[in-house]
Amino acid sequence: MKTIHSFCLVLATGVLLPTQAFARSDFPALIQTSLMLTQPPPSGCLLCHASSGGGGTVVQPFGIAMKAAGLNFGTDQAGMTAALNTLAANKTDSNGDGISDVDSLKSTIDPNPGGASPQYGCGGGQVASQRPVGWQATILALLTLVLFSVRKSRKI
Amino acid sequence: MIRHDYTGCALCHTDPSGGFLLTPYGRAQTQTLLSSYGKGPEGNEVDGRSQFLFGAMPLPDWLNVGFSGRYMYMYQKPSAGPGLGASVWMQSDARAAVNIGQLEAAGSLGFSHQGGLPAAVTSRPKDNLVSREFWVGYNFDEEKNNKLRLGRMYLPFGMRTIDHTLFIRNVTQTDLDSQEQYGASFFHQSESYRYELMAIAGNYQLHPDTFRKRGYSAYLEYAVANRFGLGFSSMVTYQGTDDQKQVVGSLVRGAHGSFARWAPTSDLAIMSELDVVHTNPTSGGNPVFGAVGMLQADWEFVRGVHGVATPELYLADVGGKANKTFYRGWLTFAWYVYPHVDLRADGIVADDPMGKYTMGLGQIHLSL
Repeated sequence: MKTIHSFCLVLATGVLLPTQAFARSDFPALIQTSLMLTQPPPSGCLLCHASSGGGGTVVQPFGIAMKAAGLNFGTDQAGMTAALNTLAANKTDSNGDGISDVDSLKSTIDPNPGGASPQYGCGGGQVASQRPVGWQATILALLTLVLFSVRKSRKI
Repeated sequence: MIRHDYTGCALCHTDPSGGFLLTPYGRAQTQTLLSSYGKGPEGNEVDGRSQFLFGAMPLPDWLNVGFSGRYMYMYQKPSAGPGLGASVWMQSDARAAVNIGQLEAAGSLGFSHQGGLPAAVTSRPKDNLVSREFWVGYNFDEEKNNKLRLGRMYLPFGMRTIDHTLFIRNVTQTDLDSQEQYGASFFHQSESYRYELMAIAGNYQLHPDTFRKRGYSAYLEYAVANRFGLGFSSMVTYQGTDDQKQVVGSLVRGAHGSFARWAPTSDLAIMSELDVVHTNPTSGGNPVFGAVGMLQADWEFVRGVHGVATPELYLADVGGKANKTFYRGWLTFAWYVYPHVDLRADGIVADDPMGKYTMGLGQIHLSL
């Protein structure tokens, strides 16, 4: 019984309760001010962290680059500006798309890599270059089938 | 159907928790209970019109075949900006089920012009063959009160409804459109309760493997009183990479809640569902919490004709930086005209992740 109780507690803690919540919810606003953006930077806390709630280890390449440029939990507005200036001077490009991170932010683009995209299907691929049947033909076929079926059922 | 004293779904549906192909008994109810026209002889009996192809092609007892086609026209008017109309061929699926002794097998194959990608069998951006559900099953008893299934199935969670855009289905990722999963499930029903528990193996029509969710989903519903059912659901899954792009890295996603179905009279059915949802990055970021809820009142004021009101709510990122409340209000007119044919019109007022808008929908559904 105690084992089950402990397991449930661990499960509840791991699933429901927040882990370490070291997050500066004002960092996106500091970025907006430092770069004189007209709107908050894209992705919010996901710029640096693993979720939109922020907190925890910095996992995003942009966030890691900012830490290397001197950003830390206690950074103020001046420190944020200094870190961004370092990235701009180094032309840091976290996702390798040829646009520096700072220029990406100024264009409201997330500077982080997009990662793998989901692919669907079983690999059937391009079986035809055009849609095989238009919706009009499908409706016509269905109505024909229904009329035939109703007529045949009345004869039975 | 709870207004007609049906607390369970297995009698009428091939999927024991509801939805998918109607059984012969379920088809008969479209004549005896549901449709405005097409009643059997002497007003209360069943004839071939409720059967496959209106009875034109009698099937052997071991075989059940069907088709479901749904067409919709929608017009959406954002609060700022011009409106937009669109025709959508929502579904055209052929379905079949085979019963041989205690063994069962069922599946569907259809065509989707747009959307439904997680159920796609082919790999085009549009115009795909889709297979939403297919499984083999074993019934441990003749009454089919205990059923083990393996394959791709609807997730056992909350209320089964075809309204896949409702927050309770879409946010929890448990809709009947394309959010089915591969796995193994066990279903049990008795006079006073039913449940289904599914071990989720992932969606093998989604690549690469890092996007597939693995975990469990389950519900339990009690027939608390005559025409009153109370249920509970829970689901937790692990994913290596979030296909919704809301979290970086691996994550645990869950939903837990309750639902209720009550028919105070034979004309009125009231249904509700409330779920808490959570997304936990395993790398240590803060979890994101939300809640979704729905209340629905379905009044059948004339046989086969329904007026339905459905307010719904979505609390996104509760306590977080992106905290926002979304809502939708639906007014629906549904007419089950004849066995195999139903019509529907909806008016929607919404402030949801798509923005603020009003929308009108018209649907025709044909099944065989």
